[in-house]
Amino acid sequence: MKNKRLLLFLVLGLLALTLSACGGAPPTATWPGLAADGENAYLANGTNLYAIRLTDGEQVWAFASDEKSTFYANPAFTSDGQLLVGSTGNDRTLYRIDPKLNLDVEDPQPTVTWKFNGAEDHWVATPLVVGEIVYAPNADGNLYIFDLSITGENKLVDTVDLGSKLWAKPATDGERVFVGSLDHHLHIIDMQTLAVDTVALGGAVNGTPAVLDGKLYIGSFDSAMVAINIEDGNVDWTSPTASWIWSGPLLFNNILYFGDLEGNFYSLKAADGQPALDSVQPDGAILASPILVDGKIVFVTENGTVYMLEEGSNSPVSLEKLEAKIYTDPVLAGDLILVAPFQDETSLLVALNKDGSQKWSFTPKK
Amino acid sequence: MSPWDFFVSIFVNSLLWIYNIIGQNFGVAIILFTILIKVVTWPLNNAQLKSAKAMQDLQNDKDYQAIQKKYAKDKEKLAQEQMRIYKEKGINPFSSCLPTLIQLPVIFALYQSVTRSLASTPLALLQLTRSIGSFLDVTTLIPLNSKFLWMDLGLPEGISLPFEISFLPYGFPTLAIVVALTTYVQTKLTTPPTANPNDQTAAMTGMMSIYMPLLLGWFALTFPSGLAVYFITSNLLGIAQYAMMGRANWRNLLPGGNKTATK
Repeated sequence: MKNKRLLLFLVLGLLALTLSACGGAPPTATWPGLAADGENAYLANGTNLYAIRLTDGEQVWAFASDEKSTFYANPAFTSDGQLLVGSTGNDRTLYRIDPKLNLDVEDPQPTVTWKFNGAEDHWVATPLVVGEIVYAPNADGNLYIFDLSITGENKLVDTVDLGSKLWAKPATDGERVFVGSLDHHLHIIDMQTLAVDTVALGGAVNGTPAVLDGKLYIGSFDSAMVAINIEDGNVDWTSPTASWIWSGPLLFNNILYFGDLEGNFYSLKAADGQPALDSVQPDGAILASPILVDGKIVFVTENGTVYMLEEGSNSPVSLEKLEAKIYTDPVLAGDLILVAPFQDETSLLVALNKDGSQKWSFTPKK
Repeated sequence: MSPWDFFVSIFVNSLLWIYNIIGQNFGVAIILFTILIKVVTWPLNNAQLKSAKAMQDLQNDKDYQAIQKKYAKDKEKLAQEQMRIYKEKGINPFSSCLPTLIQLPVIFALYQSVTRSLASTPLALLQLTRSIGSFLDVTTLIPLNSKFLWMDLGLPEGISLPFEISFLPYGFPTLAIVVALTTYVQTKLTTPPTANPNDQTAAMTGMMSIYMPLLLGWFALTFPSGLAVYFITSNLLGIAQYAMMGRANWRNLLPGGNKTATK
């Protein structure tokens, strides 16, 4: 009888383990978030936020919260160089972390200088920091606005309900904040009055808009890049793409650069949406935004290749091929191009020189 | 795509197809999909119930009890005699397990299809979009409307309290309690009365009636509430099925009901 009871316990335990391991519990893992300042790269990867020294790829610290937070969003920097990073865990905490304190002790740890637990859902989007004001979109559909100059814990100054999941980092032109939502809308929020104008798009918006000279450029899951006049919210032009546009475009010298899920990389004229060059087909889907490196466009594909494209050319050069998928936006940090492979068993972060040679790769300390 | 992912994607597509045709209500879609699965697996459930009943009846059979006593110290002989009785009475001792085993992947796939459909992270959304068939317009489907009654089906359920409880970050867990209660009721209703005080099967079932509600209640407490909706629907349908077959043992819900039934 005692053995059967033990067996029953074991079977139920196994069942619980199996169901848990099947990956249904929220939040499921996603690809890492990445940012860098002049000294360190910061990698948000699961239960840890890592600070990695840019010069040699050594781990400076690894932060794990007591609240079992999980970090995947790209961290943002406040005006005083602190980090803002939200948790996709059930704790739903937004942290402000000073990366430079307490580093002289044996196990260097950063200091959490402030945190916010008032959101109802996960933090997937990167907050936008404008001076001391933080615009932080949450998956609960609210844009939380904080004033970091306020002393004390309660820095929340306003909440704007935008109605649907917000996964995209906002952009600004200095007067308005622009943020897309998964319910197929782009919201234009006046920074003074917080009045909201909404533009209906054909699909979910997951990318950060590019903004220039009274126009805003954004792609959506409706497989189109759209230019919108900021003043009246009217669509100026629409340029269809072969598949979904997952991330925001890079705007450089009046050309928009972006990729789609089918693996096409586009160069469109910002003026009218016409192709500046024929689209190119690298080796896989493109989910991350391109970056500008010394006047050249660098983009990554899901299949793990880092490409560099000369302005005016539609022949991208492969800089590096990693044996892992890449979904995270690459980051330029000084002379280094930082790339965060997804579920790579050997490294969580790779630093490339501008010629594509690898400077270092980062594996967390045990 | 692995065979398992393919199997789950069939469930995901079916669930989303229902979601789409009923006006994009994911809670109702989960309920209808659970009903559909219950209907499809009805014959398996029936077979399992009949076999379980036959095995339970056998525990109270005088011949069976006699050989248990007679060969208590000779396990080999006991096994031979048990097989003889199974053969005589036309019982397959494994036939009550087989339907359960067949249903397990279905239950797992249903569980995964609910959580995959809710896609709470970018990676989950990417995987979801790639597993949806061309007969569904994925662009218009996303994002799924995860609001149902007072719940967000993508998050654990809880009703806000005027005060904070550290181990209940989502508030008072109504659905987890309902899941535990309906699981308890279902388990109790399906426990046949026994006349044999040494009946090990009945003792095991008694333990199950305590552990299973706690286990599923814990799942409902920590996992997305869409899963709790599935558990409750499944439990209620299970109870209805037993009742329709005339096998629900309502006396078991009363204190000491099982003992009364044995007299």
